[in-house]
Amino acid sequence: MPNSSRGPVVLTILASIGLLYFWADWLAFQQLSLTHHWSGFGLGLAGAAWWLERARKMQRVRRLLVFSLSFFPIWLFLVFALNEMGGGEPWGTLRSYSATGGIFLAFLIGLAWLTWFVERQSRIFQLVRLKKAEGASRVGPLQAMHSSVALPGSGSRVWDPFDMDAWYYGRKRQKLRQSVSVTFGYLVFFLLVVFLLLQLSGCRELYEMPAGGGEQKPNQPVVKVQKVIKKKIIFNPLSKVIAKVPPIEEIKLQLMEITKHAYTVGYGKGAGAGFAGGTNRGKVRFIRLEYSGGDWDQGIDADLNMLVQYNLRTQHKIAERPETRKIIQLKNFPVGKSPPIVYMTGQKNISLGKTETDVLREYLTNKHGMLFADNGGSAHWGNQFKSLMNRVLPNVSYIRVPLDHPIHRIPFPIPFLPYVAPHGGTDALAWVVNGRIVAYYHPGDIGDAWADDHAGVPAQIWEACYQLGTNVIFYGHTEYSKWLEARKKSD
Amino acid sequence: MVRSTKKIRLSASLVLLVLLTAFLPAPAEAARLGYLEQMPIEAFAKLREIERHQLKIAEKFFLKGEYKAAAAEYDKFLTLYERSVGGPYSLLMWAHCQVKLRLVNTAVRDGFKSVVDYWPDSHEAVVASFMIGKCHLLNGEPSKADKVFAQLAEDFPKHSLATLSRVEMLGIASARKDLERQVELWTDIAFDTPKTRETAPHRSSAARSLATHFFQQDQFQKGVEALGTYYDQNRPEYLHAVHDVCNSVVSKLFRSSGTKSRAEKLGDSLISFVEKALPLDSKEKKDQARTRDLLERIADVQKSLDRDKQVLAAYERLGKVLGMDDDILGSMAAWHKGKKRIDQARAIYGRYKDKVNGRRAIASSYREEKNYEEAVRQYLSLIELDKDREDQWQRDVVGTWRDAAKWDKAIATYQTLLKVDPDRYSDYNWGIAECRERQSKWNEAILSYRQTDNFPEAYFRMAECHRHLKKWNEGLILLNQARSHDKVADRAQHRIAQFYEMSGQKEKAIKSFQVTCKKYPKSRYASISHAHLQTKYGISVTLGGATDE
Repeated sequence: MPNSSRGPVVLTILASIGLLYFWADWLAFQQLSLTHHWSGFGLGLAGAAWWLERARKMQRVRRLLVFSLSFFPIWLFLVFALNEMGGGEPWGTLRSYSATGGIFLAFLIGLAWLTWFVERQSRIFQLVRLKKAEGASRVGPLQAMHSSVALPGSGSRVWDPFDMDAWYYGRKRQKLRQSVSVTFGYLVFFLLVVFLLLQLSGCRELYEMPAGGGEQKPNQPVVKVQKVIKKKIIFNPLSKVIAKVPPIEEIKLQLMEITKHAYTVGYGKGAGAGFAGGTNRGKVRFIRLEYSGGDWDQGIDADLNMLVQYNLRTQHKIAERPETRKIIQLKNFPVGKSPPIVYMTGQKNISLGKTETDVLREYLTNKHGMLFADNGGSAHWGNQFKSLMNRVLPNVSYIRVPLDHPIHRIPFPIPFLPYVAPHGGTDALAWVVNGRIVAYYHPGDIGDAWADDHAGVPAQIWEACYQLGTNVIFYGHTEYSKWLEARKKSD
Repeated sequence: MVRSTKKIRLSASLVLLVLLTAFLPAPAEAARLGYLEQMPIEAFAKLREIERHQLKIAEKFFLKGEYKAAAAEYDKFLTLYERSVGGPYSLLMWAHCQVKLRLVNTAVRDGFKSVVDYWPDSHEAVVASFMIGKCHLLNGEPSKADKVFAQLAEDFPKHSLATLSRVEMLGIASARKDLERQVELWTDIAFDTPKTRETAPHRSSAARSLATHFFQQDQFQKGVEALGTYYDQNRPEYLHAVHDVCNSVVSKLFRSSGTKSRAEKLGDSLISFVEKALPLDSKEKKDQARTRDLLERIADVQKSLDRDKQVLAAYERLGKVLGMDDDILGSMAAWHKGKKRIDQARAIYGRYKDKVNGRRAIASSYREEKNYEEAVRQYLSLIELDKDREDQWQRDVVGTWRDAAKWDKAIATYQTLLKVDPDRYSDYNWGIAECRERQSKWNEAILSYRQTDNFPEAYFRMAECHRHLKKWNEGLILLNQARSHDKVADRAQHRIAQFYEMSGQKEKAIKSFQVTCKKYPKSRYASISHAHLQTKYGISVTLGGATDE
């Protein structure tokens, strides 16, 4: 290595370690902020660009090595950026393709370099042995491709796998056997690494609620009455000066509505609006479930509106954009750090396999999660959802949610159930486990009322729909917070 | 003379009264308060007239389903007559109103609990305790409800609400699939509950469930004993109950190959139980009826066990004892028909004393076999036997032709019916119109629909005929006429939108779908229109929106 390259190489190695840390943090630890992540991955990209520019003047092998290694920061940046574009289409699909495609490309790059290296080493061994074997006849290319052209002397046993004369490759078709063995070994190694990364960090996700506290009670505007009596001069009643005494009607009542919340919406004793079981970097996230068989992404643009409205109404910290997850991905969230509530909608079919049903059951019961289902357009979808819940929680029957249930009262008391269209009746249904609603079903496309145009429904209806959405999300988080506290105490 | 005139007048008045009672239409059954909503008569007797009046006003609203108004009236009662003996009842009813308004938690917190706290020794306190359990169930908390019901059953074991509590606990145990607990509760209700009129349906149900359980466990005698807790063993209802419950278990067990032998054993036990009850002599009319009933029940058990020979033998035995009549022959023929021995069945129908019924049964059997020509021949031959009921036989004929999809022949029969039975012209014209529709003769169908009085449905059918003729405007006119009928206005509006869509008038279709959503937001057509606008046209502004109030 020339002296001029030594500095940048050392720097690049250090930067690579840093980049690996950013990657691990982004996927698993979640200690750094989003700005840090953008900076880290951006620097990685800049480093790659610098090396690629420099590689044009390098030898062929070095140039290829630079190209190969530069692939990794570019790939990481691409997946990260697409992920941050949100779960909506086409970003979600692009993210998924780029992540899978990147793994495949990484596999090919590794395989190419391994083939090159094995071939090179094997050739060196053969040449050394040919030189030693004086008087060896000339070897044709076909013969060299097929098997060893310089066998080791009798009695010596070769162990090196890069040498095609290693004893375990046999004495015929050594080249073929070596290629197959090395490729197979590489494949196993690669799969093992990918599996470990997915299990240990890559697929592990965390959900943290915003820290804080507040009261779990209805938010009712307080009207403070102040009597303002006009100042009047009191004269001597015996005076001859006549003063007009104002009639009682002229006493003005100044009604002042206290517009700001009289209390903080939240649960627990922390400072600011939030939840006792939350963390400082925690946020309320809106996660929509992806499922097969139907149109899970119906009206997905409205999710952001609901998330923003939730923030406006509760002052809780929220994520920058809503997300989507496959049902199977709920498995990746650990107990105590999983989403308190996930949302699903649609109007066609819901077809889930046994594994997905099991994951959903585990999420709702062991992980204390909650499902917010919204019938997006047909009685059929409602029946599908009921049938799904029957499989997920076979011993739990649904109830009609009373209008004075906390989910309909806190923080916003809603005296009726608002809906856009009565797709699945006019009753909100719930599946209750140990006194906690684990699934809330809205029969009439509440999501449409959250859209920019509110589906053209009257303001009273869409406002109530936002309030109901806020209540349901808040209920999910409050119950989760209570459970976290109870767990802490029992520990 | 005067006395006799008075007597005549009195008798005449009585006769008139009886006639009036017999022929005047019975008044529609008035809504009544349920057991949990009634006031004890002793407390009612102590109320002042003005208090009764206030309660009556509240009750009127309650029975009309106007629960907000009823709650306000009960609340008014509490405000006005705070110290009245009707206080607990009024608060209880206020809480009932809250439950009806789906404010379950409010009902418990401000109503039922207050009744228990302020009037703990009252009848209403027991009802309120029970209702608290019910509210826990409505809130999806069966464990809490179970505790409340168990406590109530323990505190007031002789109260009829203790039985109701056990019934509720049964429901909870059933949801949990806890059979042991169910058996325990059935036993409690069947054996230990006071035998009152209020508890009767629950005791009967528990006795039957417990008996079913024992029969399924091959414990015939225990099952019989369980039924004996409710039914008087000297009355026929007791035997009927044993037969009904046990026979249903027999047929269920017989359906599964693994339990067939158990079914045979249980069935034999049941047959010998019924045999023991057979009267020794059947000369008396009462004994004859009992013998018929019991032998038919034995045949039923044999049927459940699919014992062909024994079934027929039971009917032959019945014929021997009481003399073969059409009822017995009918049962035998039905069995043969079930076994696909249709010729034997027909031969038995031929032995009917009532030749008309026999011929009709033969005709039906041909119709079931899809031998329509022969069926019609048999039905028409009935006209000769019983000319007075020609309209009935012709209706059977038209039904047969319709089954055979012979529309022209069906129409011809309808034309005959119009002459034979002109009073039902609308039905027959409707039938003709339907047949014309099946023949795709749309104009003729429209003409026939016009001659019916089945509106607004006829508007829809005529509109559909116009749709087939692609006469969109005519169809739309008819649908608009249908829209003036409030009950079908939403359906008509939705169909109007679909007509516009089918005729290629996209703008008008969209507008009409939106009108459906806006004008009928609670209708299922609003739901369909909303989804259609979104999926077909990608229109998110569908209008509509409503609340469940």
